Amino acid sequence: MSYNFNFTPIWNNFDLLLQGALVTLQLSATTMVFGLLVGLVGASLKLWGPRPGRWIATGYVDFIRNTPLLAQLFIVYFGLPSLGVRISAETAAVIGLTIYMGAYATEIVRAGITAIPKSQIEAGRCLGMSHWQVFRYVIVFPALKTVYPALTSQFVLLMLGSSLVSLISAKELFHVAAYLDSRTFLPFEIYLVVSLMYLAMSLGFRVLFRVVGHFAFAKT
Amino acid sequence: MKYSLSKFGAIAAAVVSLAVGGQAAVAKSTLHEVIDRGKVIVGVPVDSPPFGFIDENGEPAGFDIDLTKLLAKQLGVELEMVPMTSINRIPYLLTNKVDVQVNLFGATPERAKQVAFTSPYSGLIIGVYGPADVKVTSPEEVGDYRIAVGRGTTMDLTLSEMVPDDNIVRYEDEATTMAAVFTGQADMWAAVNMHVINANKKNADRKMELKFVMRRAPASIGLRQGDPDWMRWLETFVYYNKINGELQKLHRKWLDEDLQKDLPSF
Repeated sequence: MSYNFNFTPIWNNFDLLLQGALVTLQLSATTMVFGLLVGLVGASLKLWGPRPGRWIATGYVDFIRNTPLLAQLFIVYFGLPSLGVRISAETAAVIGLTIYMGAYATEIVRAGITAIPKSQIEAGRCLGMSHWQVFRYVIVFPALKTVYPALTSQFVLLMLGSSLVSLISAKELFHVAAYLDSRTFLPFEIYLVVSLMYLAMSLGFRVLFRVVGHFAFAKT
Repeated sequence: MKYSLSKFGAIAAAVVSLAVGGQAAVAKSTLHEVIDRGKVIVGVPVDSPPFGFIDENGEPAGFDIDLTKLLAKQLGVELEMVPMTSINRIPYLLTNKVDVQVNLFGATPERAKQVAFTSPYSGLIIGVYGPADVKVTSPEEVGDYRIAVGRGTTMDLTLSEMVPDDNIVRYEDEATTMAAVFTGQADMWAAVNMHVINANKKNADRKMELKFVMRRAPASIGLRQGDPDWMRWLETFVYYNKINGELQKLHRKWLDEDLQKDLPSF
């Protein structure tokens, strides 16, 4: 068994891979923000919403967390145009991944909020804080601090999972890799390099999250 | 000396007559074999609709099947069809298992080293297809339209040389590509005409029409080399049915398109 590695075609097309990596980063970052927002709303609905709201939130979380991401992406990408809404692959990817991330974020945020002792909330009220102030300073902020590690892991998983949107023709890193593979027939080399690029991005995100966490939760 | 000369002459005459006799036996044309036998044995496709497939009654049907029936009819003999996959076309000819292949057989220099080909009677079109409201007739007019194609296929490689990369949307496989085309995620489809014909049958409300041709892959009748009589008859068969409209009828029936006017004759 011997294999002669040939990386030359990959370096020649490295700008394409970098472009794909950039799209992956944009896609992941956008989805993280939207997904977290959906998570906050979802968790609030689940904990304090009216009964129908709670049902909807529970149904949403259960459906998304128990079906394949690929099926969800195909429903968004192929389903919406059938209803007359035409969206680009990249938009479909953001929508699909946000829905996916939102469900996981809902559960994570809910766990964080549940972990806050009731007495802490009562203490906030006793100090004369408004509802909004209690929500912001006593509930959401400490809750996010508690679940921050879980949330960041989920974000990294999302970034890695975004490779699936290559199947709906979104031109992110994995799509570029498959494209190069179809032209050069060097899958070993290409997916090795691409894996290292994903690894670099994951590590980059982890460092970034640590720095952000350090500053964001420094006061509390 | 005289004796030996005549002896030599006798041997020479024997050798010549043997050679001629032997040659006559070998060179009997498949054409006459078929006529004497009263039956022609034809290799046909059954896995390439609409050229050859098994219909709902379990019978072979399609363009090549109809052409094969016409061939037997015009020869005035019975027909025996031998269904086979494309990989077996040359071996079946070379081992005399069939007289001829009417089997979506594309003439290439590589194949022509082993078997002979008539002039093409039809062929595959690799083209860009789209619904009626997309007005495009050449690669220069694609504008902002998005063309769906299976990644890494012949269609992809050909299309990539003809239109800007921004117009091409690549999918994992033919099924996903078709889904994109028929849901409207892509405006056009780079495909082989036989796939389009089959897809159109299932999606009558968004019919795909040929916008422009990327490449043609003509289909010829294949036969063994070194048989000029048989070759001549088959060439006559193709030519005759081109002129009398039979091939045009088959094109309309199976391919929903006209017989190409510029179909080459060898």
